[in-house]
Amino acid sequence: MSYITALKCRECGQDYPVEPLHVCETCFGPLEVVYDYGRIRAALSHKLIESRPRNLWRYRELLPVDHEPDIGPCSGFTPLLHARRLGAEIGIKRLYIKDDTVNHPTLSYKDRVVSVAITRAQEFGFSTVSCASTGNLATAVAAHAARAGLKCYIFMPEGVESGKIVGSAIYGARVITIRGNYDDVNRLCSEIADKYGWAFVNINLRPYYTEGAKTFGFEIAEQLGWKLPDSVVIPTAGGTILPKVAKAFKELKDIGLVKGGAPKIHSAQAAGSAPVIHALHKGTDLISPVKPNTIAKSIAIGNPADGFYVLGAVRESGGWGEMATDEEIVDAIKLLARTEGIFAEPAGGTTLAVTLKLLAQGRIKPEETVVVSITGNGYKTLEAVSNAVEQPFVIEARLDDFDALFERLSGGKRLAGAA
Amino acid sequence: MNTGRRRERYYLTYPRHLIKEPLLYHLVKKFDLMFNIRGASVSDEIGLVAVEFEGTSEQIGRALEWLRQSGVTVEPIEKNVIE
Repeated sequence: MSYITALKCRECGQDYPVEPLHVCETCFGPLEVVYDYGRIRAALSHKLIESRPRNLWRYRELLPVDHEPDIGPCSGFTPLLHARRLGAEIGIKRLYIKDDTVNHPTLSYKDRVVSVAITRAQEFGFSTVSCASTGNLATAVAAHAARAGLKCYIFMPEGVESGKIVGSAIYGARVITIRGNYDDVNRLCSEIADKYGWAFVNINLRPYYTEGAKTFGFEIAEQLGWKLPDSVVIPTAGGTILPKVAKAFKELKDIGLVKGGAPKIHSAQAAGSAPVIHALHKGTDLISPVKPNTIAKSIAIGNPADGFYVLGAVRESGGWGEMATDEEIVDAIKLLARTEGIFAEPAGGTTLAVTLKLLAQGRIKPEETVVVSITGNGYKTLEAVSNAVEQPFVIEARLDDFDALFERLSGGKRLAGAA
Repeated sequence: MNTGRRRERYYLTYPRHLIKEPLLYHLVKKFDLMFNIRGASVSDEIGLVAVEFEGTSEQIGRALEWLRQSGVTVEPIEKNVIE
């Protein structure tokens, strides 16, 4: 049973039918899914949600699908970890990590948005799904398309690492690399989506795709015992997740599933790709595109589609935003790994590094309940930190050699009983 | 002759030094292209224009190239779709 009533332009308010549309024909504004919240309020309860399997579909009334989904049966409901050791180190008692490094099946938050987009693609009757991506989105689309039995085309700019291609091709997706710069790839993909009538998850299915990001926010609230935190820090790339987490919190309040004040929502970007943070700091709504240059490639988007809405959500919540240098990002990845045993990709390092800055600025207070959003897994981006970790020690296969090394590493102390 | 004419939608981003230039006027004179502005925002630092061009694929392609060479950022209305 569907609770969607229409699509609506976020700018001029014009209504559209529930179809694979994404842009207002009149003003070119993005389209947003509209729900019948009255019926959802009557249908949904804590008890019903908690009785369901631990995946993102436990909030299905608030997602834009019509039928019982079978895509992403293990996507979502990732851990919300009380980070006691990290919290003690940085000075926040109630610090939580929302850990999408272990999202199933492709280890990033993209499994959420893609589960919803592919389900919707099936409902619309598409036989081919597609996306343009350099990493996490590609693998998520390829994997979910495989399970759905849909054909899949992935477009990448020429020159991406071979590992990224393997990560999609292994699922049977056809990978096409395009000669030209990112602008050329963007333009071509828009043209292909238009001409071939495929389901491009983040183009013509974008209104549905982005709704999947709300589940990140629903889960935070549920895992805190149906309470909202005081601060949430979220990385910003294309601008999907942050406004949708804000929407998730608002929906839960509107339908009576949580009470209390709304959290401050803070945006994190890498200094080498921070168009939203620059606009936020300047106090403007107009985002100047940048040419990204950062190790945080999964969030290196120079002209984010929904950047304007990130600014709106951050400001409305009373939050703020900061950027982190590559060095700060690497340091934060190591800090999280060393204190909590979580290995994040550079987007996660960015988010934690920005959390530290906001704490130092007093925008996050030590007594707050703070959630740091970790959206992707470090095993996919080993190159980002490979030179920043201690290199291995090499010894011969002799106990004497190890004894000598251990003594050196221990600052001259000999192990009791060692010769 | 209208054969091969098409409509394409773009966001144009003008840097500060081009905001006062009548670029779309020059564009029409130079490439005989129809355009329809659907939205615009201008500050003292940046100008954004949402525009639909109508012409042959070649006309539009040449016009976009001229805009880019003039210093305007030209992107589909979806902006960056590579994620």
